[in-house]
Order: sequence, then structure tokens, then C-alpha cells
Amino acid sequence: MIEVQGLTKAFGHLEVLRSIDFKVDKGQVVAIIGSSGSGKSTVLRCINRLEKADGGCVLLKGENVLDKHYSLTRLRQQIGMVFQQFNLFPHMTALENVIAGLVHVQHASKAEATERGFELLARVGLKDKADVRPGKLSGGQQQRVAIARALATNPDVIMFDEPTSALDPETIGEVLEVMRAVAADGMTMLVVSHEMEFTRELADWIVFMDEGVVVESGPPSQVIDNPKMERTRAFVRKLASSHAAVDIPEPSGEGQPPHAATTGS
Amino acid sequence: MIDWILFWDAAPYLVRGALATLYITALSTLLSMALGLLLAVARMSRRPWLRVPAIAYIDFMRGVPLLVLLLFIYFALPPTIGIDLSPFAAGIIGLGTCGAAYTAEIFRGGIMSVPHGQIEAAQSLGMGYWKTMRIVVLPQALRVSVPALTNEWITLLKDSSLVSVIGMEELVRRGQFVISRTFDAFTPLLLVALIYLVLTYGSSFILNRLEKRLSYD
Repeated sequence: MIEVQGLTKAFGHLEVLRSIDFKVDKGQVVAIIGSSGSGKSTVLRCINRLEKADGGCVLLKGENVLDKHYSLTRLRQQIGMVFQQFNLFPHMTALENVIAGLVHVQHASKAEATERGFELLARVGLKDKADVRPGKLSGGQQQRVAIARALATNPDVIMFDEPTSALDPETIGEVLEVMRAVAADGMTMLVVSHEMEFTRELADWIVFMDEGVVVESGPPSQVIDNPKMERTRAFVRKLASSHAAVDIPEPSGEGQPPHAATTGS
Repeated sequence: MIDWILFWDAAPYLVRGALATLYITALSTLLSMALGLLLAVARMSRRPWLRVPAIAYIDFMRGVPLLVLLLFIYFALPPTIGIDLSPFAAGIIGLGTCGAAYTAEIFRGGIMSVPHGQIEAAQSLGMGYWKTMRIVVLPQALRVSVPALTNEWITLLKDSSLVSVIGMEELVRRGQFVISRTFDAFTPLLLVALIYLVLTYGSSFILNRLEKRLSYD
């Protein structure tokens, strides 16, 4: 589906990416992990050209999307993006946010888009919030709307840029639950995340980055549980100790946000 | 002191003048908003051939007194380029082109207040520059700009009195007519001032209500 080859990017003298290679197969969940400043987010941003890569290529279904002749609109309709800060449009309701791409980019009819919008909001458990503006939603709810928005245009891949890092601990669970459901539906996902347990459970493949290079990649059983490289080992150990106290909720009923994170004993 | 007979006699005549004042203010505001929006976008452009003229325009218009600009447009410009301008047209052009410089800066501030993540989110959905502007950035920028635009409207409403010097028959001009006919300056000017107060207070009342209705949180 996506193949990143020799991707490089520098901000001034700072080389953020020094030849990154990895691939994401159709239906796979690939997680990029690494400490902050390792260039993880920059990789995502270079893939959908929010950031201009300096070199290398990104093949999407065999075509290099970094080629300047590759249409940006076409690229971005194929790759959805979920941001750390949600970036919902504050002047639109939840429903309008979800269908913005359908209505304004894909020119779907209002009725058609609305139907799909309600369907997606139901999928993330927020159908009753359709007419509410983002300012009145919790962080977790906003991020669920943002996921519905990314799903709306039927992309081939969705990229998640630290989707739970800006959330209160008690709302992280509901967002992970939605992501779990999206993955279960067979969506191809590329996730930058700090949620170690979640990554271990959901990712088919893990790419560990440090200082702009891929240090190690492989299935979670290797990279997290049995890392070969010293740098990976150090990172996993550090993360495991800092996340020891966080409970990862069990999957619950369909479409419903989980309560494991909010309900006590 | 107040001549009450004159007060009530002159009132309808002056109120009709106030309607003219409102009319030219509204038209020049429309012109200044349209031109101001274009200037704001040009001023923020990466292309120097758009940005530099916009900056020059804004600096020029803010630097020249409106009175001088109006006199220039009405008396100096038409014979030079061989056109005929009515006081009305010259007034609208003067007020509108000058107001555009201020309005452009208001819009620019509004546009810059929209977080960059909004633009990235819009682009990630496949929107291009203009679509991002129209659907995501401007609706948010306009809301932010409403208080400053209210200010600009009130300024323009009062500054429109300057077009009396080129013969446009609005509130102040009519006030002067009354003075020259009655040799009483106190009553007509008091009335004129009161009417301006009603207009400005009424506008800010309405625009503040609009501001509240537009806010989304």
C-alpha cells in the first residue's frame, strides 16, 4: 500500500530524517514509535506532503506521491489524517466536520453526505452529538469526531499523529477503542503513538525510530518484547516504567466508548 | 439655547440627511470590506508582486488624511484623467478606498489568528488554498474580526461627514444649510450631534448582538 524509500528531510541544518525505509501493507496497522524529536511525526507529514521531503520517495499503490505532478488533492483523499490536537473546525458542528471533505472536496450531495455522516458518528459512538460544536465536546469526543472525519472520504490509509497525546488520561481509552474498531474493519493504519500496550496489541508491524533513522522494525513480539538493538531496549524499558500505571481498557460493546478507564471498582 | 421650534422643524430634514449618511457609509463599507479582503490576502501572499503593492497601498492610505484624499479625488483627479465624478461617487470611492486599508489589517489579524492546525486539517481533507480559505479560515477570521469591524463601521460613519466638503448632501451638509438659513448654529448642530449619537449607539448595539450570535462557544 505505502512504501517509504530513502526519505530524507532537514529543517535548516537539523537533519530530522536521514533515509527512512519501511512499508505498510494493505490492511496492516503499522506503528512508528520513538522518543520525541526522533522524526516520527515528520515522516507522516512528509507522506501526505504537509511537509516537503528533501529526498527519497513514497510509493502509494506503486506511484510516487512525492512527485510534483502527483495531485495533492488526489493524494490527500487517499490518505486520511488524525492530528494530536484534533484540529476540528470550531465553527462547524460535529456532523459538518465529519462531512466537510465529502461536501467540499468530493462534492457529494448534502443528503448523501449527511447520511454517511450520521453513520460514521454512530460508529464512533457520538450520533447524539451531531449538532454540537467541538468547543462543547471533551478531548476524547473531539478526537473521535476527527477519526470519523478522516474515515468519511473513504481513504485507503489513515495516519494517526499521536492521537492520544493531548488527551486527559480518562478519555484515552475511548479513542483507543474507536481505533481498535477501525483496525478491526480492515483499515490500513499508520500510527505514531506512545501507547505501548495498545501498540503491542494492535500493530502488525512496529518501526522504532531514533535520531532520524529506523533503528529496528519488526512485529511487536520482536521490537517490544525482544528488541535486538540496545537503543530499542533502552526506549522500551523507559516507556514501560513510565506507563506502568496506565490501564488499557478491554474491548467493549460495538460503537460504545469503553468505560474501563473512567469507572472505578 | 435650544430653539425648540427650529429643533422640531429641522428634525425631519436632518433625519433624511442622516439616511444619506447611512447610505454612503454602507456603500463605502461594502467597498472597503471587499477591497480590504483582497488586500489582506495579497498582503499575506508569498509572492512579492502581490505583497509589495498591497503593503504600499495600506501605508499610503493610512498616511494621507482622509480629507485630503477626498479633495484630491473630487477636485484634482477628474480633470487630470478626464472623467466626471459626482460628489456621491467621489465620496464613496474616497471613504471606501481609505477604509479598505484599515479593514485589510483587521482581516489580516483575523486570518493570522486562525491556528495553523486548522489549515493543515483542511488540506489533509484535500482542500486547496482557496477552498481552505473560504470554508475553514475566513469564517473563523471574520468572527474574530467583528469587534474591530464594528469599530471601523463607527469610524466610517463619523468620517462620512467629511464628504460634506465636496458637496455631498448628507447630515453635516444639511446641518450647515440650516445654520446658514436661520443664523442659529446651536440648535442644528446639537441636533446633528444627537443624530450621530443615535446612529453610532444603534449600530454598536446591533453589531454587538451580531457578535454574540456569531460566537460558537
